Amino acid sequence: MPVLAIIVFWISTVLAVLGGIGVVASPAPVYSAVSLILTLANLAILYLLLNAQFIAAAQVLIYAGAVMVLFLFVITLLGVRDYRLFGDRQPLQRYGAMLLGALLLAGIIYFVSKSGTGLTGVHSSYNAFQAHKGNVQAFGHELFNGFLLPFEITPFLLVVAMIGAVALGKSTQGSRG
Amino acid sequence: MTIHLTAADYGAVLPIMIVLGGALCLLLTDAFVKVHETEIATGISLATLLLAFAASAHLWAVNAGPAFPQGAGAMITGDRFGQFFNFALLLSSALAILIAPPYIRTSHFDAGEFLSLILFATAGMMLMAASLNLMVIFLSIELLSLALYILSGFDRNRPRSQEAGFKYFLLSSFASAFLIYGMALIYGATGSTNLIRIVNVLGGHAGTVASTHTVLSSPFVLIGIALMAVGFAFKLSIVPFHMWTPDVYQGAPTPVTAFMSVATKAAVFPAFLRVFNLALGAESHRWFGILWALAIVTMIVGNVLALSQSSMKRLLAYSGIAHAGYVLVAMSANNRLGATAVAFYFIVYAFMNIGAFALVLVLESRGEAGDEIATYRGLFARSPLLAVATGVFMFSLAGFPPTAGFFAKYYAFAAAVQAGHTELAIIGVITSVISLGYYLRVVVLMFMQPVEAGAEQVRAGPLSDFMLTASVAGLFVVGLVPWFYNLAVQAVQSFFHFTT
Amino acid sequence: MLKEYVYVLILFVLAAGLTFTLLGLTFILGPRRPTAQKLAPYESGMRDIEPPSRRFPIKFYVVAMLFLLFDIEAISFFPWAVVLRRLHFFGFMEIFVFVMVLLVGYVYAWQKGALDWH
Repeated sequence: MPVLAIIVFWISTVLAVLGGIGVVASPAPVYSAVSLILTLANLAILYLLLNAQFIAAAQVLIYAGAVMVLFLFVITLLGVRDYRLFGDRQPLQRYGAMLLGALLLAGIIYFVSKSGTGLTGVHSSYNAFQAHKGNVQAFGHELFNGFLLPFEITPFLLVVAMIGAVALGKSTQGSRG
Repeated sequence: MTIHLTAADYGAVLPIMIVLGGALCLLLTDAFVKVHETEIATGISLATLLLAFAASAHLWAVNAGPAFPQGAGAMITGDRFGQFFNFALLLSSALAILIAPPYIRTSHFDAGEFLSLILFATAGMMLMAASLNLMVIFLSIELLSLALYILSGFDRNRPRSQEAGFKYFLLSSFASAFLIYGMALIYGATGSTNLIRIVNVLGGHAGTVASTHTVLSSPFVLIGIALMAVGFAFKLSIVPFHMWTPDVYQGAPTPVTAFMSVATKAAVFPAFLRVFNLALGAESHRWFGILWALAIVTMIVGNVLALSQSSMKRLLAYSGIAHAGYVLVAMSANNRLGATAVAFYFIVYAFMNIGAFALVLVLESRGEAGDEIATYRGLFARSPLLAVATGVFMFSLAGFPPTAGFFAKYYAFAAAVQAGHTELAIIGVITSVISLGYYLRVVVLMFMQPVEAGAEQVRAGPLSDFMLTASVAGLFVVGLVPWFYNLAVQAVQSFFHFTT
Repeated sequence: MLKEYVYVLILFVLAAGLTFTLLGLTFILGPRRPTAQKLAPYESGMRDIEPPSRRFPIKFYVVAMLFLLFDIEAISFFPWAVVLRRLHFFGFMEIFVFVMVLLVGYVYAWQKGALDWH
């Protein structure tokens, strides 16, 4: 990897992790949402580094764009008055969770540093295609050939989400009609 | 490489496509049909399930291999193992739909919407039972979970239902994150999401000596196994990831509880088996300790906490946790008998657990208090049929011979003994004895306690009567006729077949 | 390969620079003579006792959710469009099934009145 890519990688990784910490540590939901945008945007940069331009664009359009707008919309319109939503009702639980999380992180770092990463790398046909056709083509080729079944399942997932929005969101009088 | 789908590929997804198509039809029914919606929707969903059952039975006869596309890059498989769980899933879906109509009417649900969600969940479960790819496993777990979140919170006029839906959604999405993180690490370590390719990379398969392939030194496989175990354990309500179960089971509409208590497990366990016993079979020395500990804690905690419950639904929730522990014992044995026991368990479990929830539903139609165990006092005098049916379900859940519940448990523990883990079987038997404490309490209340003054007769509807009789008969037939067990044996043969 | 993104970076720098310059200029050059009344949310009108906490109609969320779902549908067309030529007729059928399933969902949402405002 060229030096520039390494520098960009580390900057966006650190920012993404900081954003993640911001999501859970922020006192107000709005700050959490903004931190999440920071994380998602930096993930998009990481996708670019992986040569996955389409995923990066989708990440920005769908997640950092549409999903986060919906989040902010809900948070601001709901008008959460008491920002310390979950309070410190069970501080022990919180510290316990932090401790366990830290242990998990330490364990992962220990094992990875001890025995190397051992990552095998991505799908070879994808790489071959990407090399001479470009990213969106490679993605589309994989999606509409090998991954056709998952692709055809997604509209059903979307329809179920649609039923959820309509069934749980309709006005109560309407459901009696 | 361009995809070439053959008739076998379409055949492998046909049962799932039928159920999905039926769900879409129900949506249109909901949108356009205004009169007799409940009857029409129930008819359509039962017909769909019957058709899917026929397609699944045909697939069983063909015993197709990996499909869509065929070969090493396959997404799903049409093997008998998947079809066997399809039978269990279609059965539990049909049983739940049979008891649903009265509930739909009294709660003013939109029948088309409600039943289509049950079918979407069923399709997700069938896809999961057949999946050969981590990607498909994740998509199907999302499809079934999303439908179940909505179903749990479907009764918007009851705060308990809303709480159930919301709680299930938050906790379950959290668990999904663990699952996909684990999958990502396994993908990173092996370079494929396809289970067969993962087997090839990691080397060996279930039942063989653990390979010492160099990639085993990769920590990502280990961390991936741990994270995926968390994700699966949550969906199976295995201790310590069980916290949501009693609240969700109690709050969700009762037909939904009946359905999800059986079908979710019948969908997740085959995928769990395929990932752990098959794809990670060579790694069993790494994951055995995790499953061993989970199984023991689950059996003990589930059975002990069930003792102190006063709500029937919560009792059944803890009983469900305990049963997940028994199945986990069979699975962690990591042998042929274990896989057979898991498969056989779910045919039995579908009859006894959905049957038990059907009774809860009948009594519950008389108000919220119907859920209290005290309501069962003197039930024999009020309704002999219901009381006898409940008795059979309780004895079967407790594992008394000659009910099928006994055989299911027997095979599960026998698998552990065969694998040399007698301690698991011993703990299983001890906790089963503990479980008598709460199952028999219900039986004693029904048969040996006098009726309260002024208690009325209890009557179930014709569909529920049919369903209860069928379940009771099923519990004896499945247990005593060896044909069903042989079916499970054949199913498992195909499970271990294609790795070689 | 990162050099291709230099133009994107320049765009970001220009956009950020312009924003900060304009804001900074108004901050420095604009006259500010604040009084208590000017700083109130509504300069003329009732004094607010507490921030408004109305419950917004859930309609907003339903529409936003539906938008999001169709947004995901739309982005699936991109990778399809670029490889359509090599997928031939089968590729057309692939997206046809995809769209038809969502169309059923759309008809359902429409009939249930999720798209009506009142």
